[in-house]
Amino acid sequence: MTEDSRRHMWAEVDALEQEARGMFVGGMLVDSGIDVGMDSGATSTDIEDEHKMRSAITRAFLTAMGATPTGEVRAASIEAMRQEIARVMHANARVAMITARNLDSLPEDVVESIYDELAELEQLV
Amino acid sequence: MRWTVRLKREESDLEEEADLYDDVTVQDLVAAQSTWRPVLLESARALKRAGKPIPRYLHWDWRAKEGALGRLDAKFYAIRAQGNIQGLMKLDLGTLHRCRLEPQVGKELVYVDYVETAPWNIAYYMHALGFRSIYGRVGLRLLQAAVQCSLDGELKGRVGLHSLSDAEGFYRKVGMSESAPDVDKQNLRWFEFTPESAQSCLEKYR
Repeated sequence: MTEDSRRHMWAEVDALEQEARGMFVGGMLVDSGIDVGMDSGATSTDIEDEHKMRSAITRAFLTAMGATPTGEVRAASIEAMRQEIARVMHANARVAMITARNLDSLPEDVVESIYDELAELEQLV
Repeated sequence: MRWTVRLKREESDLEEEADLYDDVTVQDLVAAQSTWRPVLLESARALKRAGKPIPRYLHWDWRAKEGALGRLDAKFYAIRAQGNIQGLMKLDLGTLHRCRLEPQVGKELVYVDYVETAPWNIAYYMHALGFRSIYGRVGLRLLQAAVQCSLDGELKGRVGLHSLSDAEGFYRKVGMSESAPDVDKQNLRWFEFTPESAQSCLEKYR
């Protein structure tokens, strides 16, 4: 087997393993009465209810293990930050009061500051 | 027993050695649950916000299987690297499951009851959190451990399992044969290794 074909062989099986998303068989799940389907609408509320660990702690844990950031999460522009903040405001009345003021009129440094604060408050990342 | 297996470090694309062992303890199950779950939940929250699918079986709890640790008809395997458990597998060594496909219908096999890898090894979950996944091939090494267990038990590498739908391509790729969806198992598809395909999987993916 050539090096190229070997690399291709591994790439294929690695990609398919990733497609399994970490859980490979369902025998014991079914026997335990668990629905093995995917929640395509992502409507489960249990996720929020069961969340106990702060985002920052999780991220620190992953970083300590050597995980490297992809840089894909943080909004790339002030406008994207405004949109993200507005989305969070809409979804979360508890923090909506933070920005009762008009987001569009806020200076860029304030937008960035609010974004970072919300991120820290595990609302965004 | 303990063995050395090679995982792929995703960041460098290089192989790294890890420990595979079958003397899994309650502490291992607790450690896996306590380190995996926060990451999984955090990721699921991010996926949910992005409107992306999350598995309904997210709430699986390994600690619930503590009672099976001492059973003779069950066997657990774990892979540990960098001090953390990277994957867990439970095998059923009883006679409840038998081969279903020709030419080995009715013969004894090792049944893979459950396999899970740590969420930080899954790109789908890690990307949602803004990170790259850490290790690859954890699932493959555990499946190969099941084959080895079958060989050690003189079952010639015969292994069977009910695949979750997202994993079906993986089992086909490593050479397992399949049957129609099993209506008694939420229509999960049955896969099994023959002695030949099991041996091939061990040799091909060394």
